[in-house]
Amino acid sequence: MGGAPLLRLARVTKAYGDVVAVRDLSLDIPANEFFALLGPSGCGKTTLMRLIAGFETPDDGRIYLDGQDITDLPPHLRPINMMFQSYALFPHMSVEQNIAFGLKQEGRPRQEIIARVEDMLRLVQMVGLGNRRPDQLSGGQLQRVALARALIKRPKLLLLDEPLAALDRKLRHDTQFELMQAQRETGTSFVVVTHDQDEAMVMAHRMAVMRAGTIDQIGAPREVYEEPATRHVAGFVGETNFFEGRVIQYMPGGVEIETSKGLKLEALCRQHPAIGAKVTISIRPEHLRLSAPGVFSNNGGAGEILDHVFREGLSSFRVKLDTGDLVHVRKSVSEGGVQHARGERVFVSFAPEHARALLT
Amino acid sequence: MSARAPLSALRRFVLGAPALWLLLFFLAPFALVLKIALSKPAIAQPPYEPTFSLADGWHAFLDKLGALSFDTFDLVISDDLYLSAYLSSLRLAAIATLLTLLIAFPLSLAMARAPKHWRMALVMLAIAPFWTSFLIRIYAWIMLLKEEGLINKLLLSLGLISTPLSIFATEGAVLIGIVYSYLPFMILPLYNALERQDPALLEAASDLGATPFTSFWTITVPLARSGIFAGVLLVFIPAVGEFVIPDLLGGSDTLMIGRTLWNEFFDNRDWPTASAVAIFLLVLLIAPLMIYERQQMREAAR
Repeated sequence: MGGAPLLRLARVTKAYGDVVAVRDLSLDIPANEFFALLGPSGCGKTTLMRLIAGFETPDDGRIYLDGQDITDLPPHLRPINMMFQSYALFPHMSVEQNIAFGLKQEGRPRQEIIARVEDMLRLVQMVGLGNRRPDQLSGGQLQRVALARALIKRPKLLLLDEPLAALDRKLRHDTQFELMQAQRETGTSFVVVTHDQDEAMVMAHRMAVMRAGTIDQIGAPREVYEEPATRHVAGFVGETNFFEGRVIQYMPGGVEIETSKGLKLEALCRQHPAIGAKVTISIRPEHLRLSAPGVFSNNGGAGEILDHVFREGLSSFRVKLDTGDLVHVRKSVSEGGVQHARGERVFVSFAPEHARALLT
Repeated sequence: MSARAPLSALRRFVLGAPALWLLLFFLAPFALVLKIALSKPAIAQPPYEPTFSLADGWHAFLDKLGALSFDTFDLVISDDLYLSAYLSSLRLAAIATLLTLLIAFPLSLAMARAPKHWRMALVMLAIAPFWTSFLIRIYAWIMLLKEEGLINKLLLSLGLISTPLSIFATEGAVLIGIVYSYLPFMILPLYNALERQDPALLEAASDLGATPFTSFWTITVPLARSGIFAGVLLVFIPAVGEFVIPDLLGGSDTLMIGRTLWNEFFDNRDWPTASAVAIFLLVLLIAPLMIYERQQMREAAR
């Protein structure tokens, strides 16, 4: 089959009444990839996942798995498994019975089922708990059983619907790495649906940022973070500062804009806006410099430190510019540098190559 | 018994009220029925002896106590009439319960899977027959089932049959009556159990390769078990002792214990035998209740 992707969505559309949940969407996912579908609630990511699993049929477009058209295949005939957000473990079955369910449907011999269930219990570190019932397990254990049940059929593709949403913060952090390890060990392509950009950033090889039924950008987490394609992506993935304005002149590889409050700022731009076009500059908090007034005077604005928060080795400042704009500045504590007190006058500026001017 | 605070008057009342209720309206009448069962029929008012009275002296009381016997129980056990009436009742009730379950399950499933805003209306529809008196509805079935009744007229005019079906005054009519009357008692617990099932469970089963048929038998039905059990008991127990339906819709050959009891009581005026029949019936029906109780305990123990 050569370079054919494992999963291919070709111009898929799905509407519920007047609401278009997924609009003319195309997407390729190769084998052995950890892929994240990221977006706010209502962006269509859940519908997209249900289309892949087969719980919904697209109004238009085709879905291919390994080159085979599976658009009209019912879920129980698709070599795709899913881990549900609520886990959907069968409450009347033991952990073992839950995990074995998929293999039983294939009519595998008993010995094989027992051996493979045991393998799965080992993979999710649940050895010895096979006889428990779901209501005797903790949230983290339920999540592992759900993962084991979904992986036992060795699917080509595993869908995970908000896999960490039901876990507390500490557990979520550990589980992220366990999921990544499970993906490496099984070689199955994982498609995680999440609204939490942190999760996607940590776990995914590539991610798609969705909005209103379409994909704004697909790329590696770092690429998406550093080169957001749209204002929505810049705002959704990571923290950022926005300056809106109109293009006043072209610079090498970028533009200079003027905000409605008279700030003149330069930024790189991958698109070609016309002079006078409305654009938004996105600049990450860690790329903003704070300096004493008078040291720098261009590509920024003067202002006053509003407050200062220290968290996880980072100093975060909120600065109110004289133009009224509020900006977030983040500095790694190890960088040292001058500390700034509340009320201190500062000049906030940035290098144009760190900022992106975005048309939409 | 040291650290426990004495029960407050209110708590004692709250705990005591149901016990008092059971004592007054269940145990006391049961004791009376048991006493009558141990008496002998007599041509008197009331039609049995001995009758105890506060005016009796101590010796008279002992004499009367000595006159009580288990003769009626022997009679009920030894006479085939009662045994076959019990068996026939159990058989009819079992068939009717099974039919009710088979009809109620798909109905309840459809109700539970209906859009949320419809469900309450569907539940109301299911219990709507209760707005009309039970007796009137059974009489209505006579009109429907008779040889010159509506059903026969319709089938004849459609040309589906050439001679009227004789359903009325048969066991079939009794079954129809029981299934019809007790359907809501099956639907409500089933609906309740099915409605609570997470729809994601069926999606998960399907995702793991289960056909809709397998999902139904491995997920839907086992998870509805408590509802099935409750519904079966709610239909089976009253159906065994049913009197009105076999009396109005059944033929003279439809043998049910409720009717036998009525005959003993009113036609033969044999109150002791009627009472013994009733006590056997009670014992018979306590058995499934105890099974249900144990099942509930097992479920709770999980």
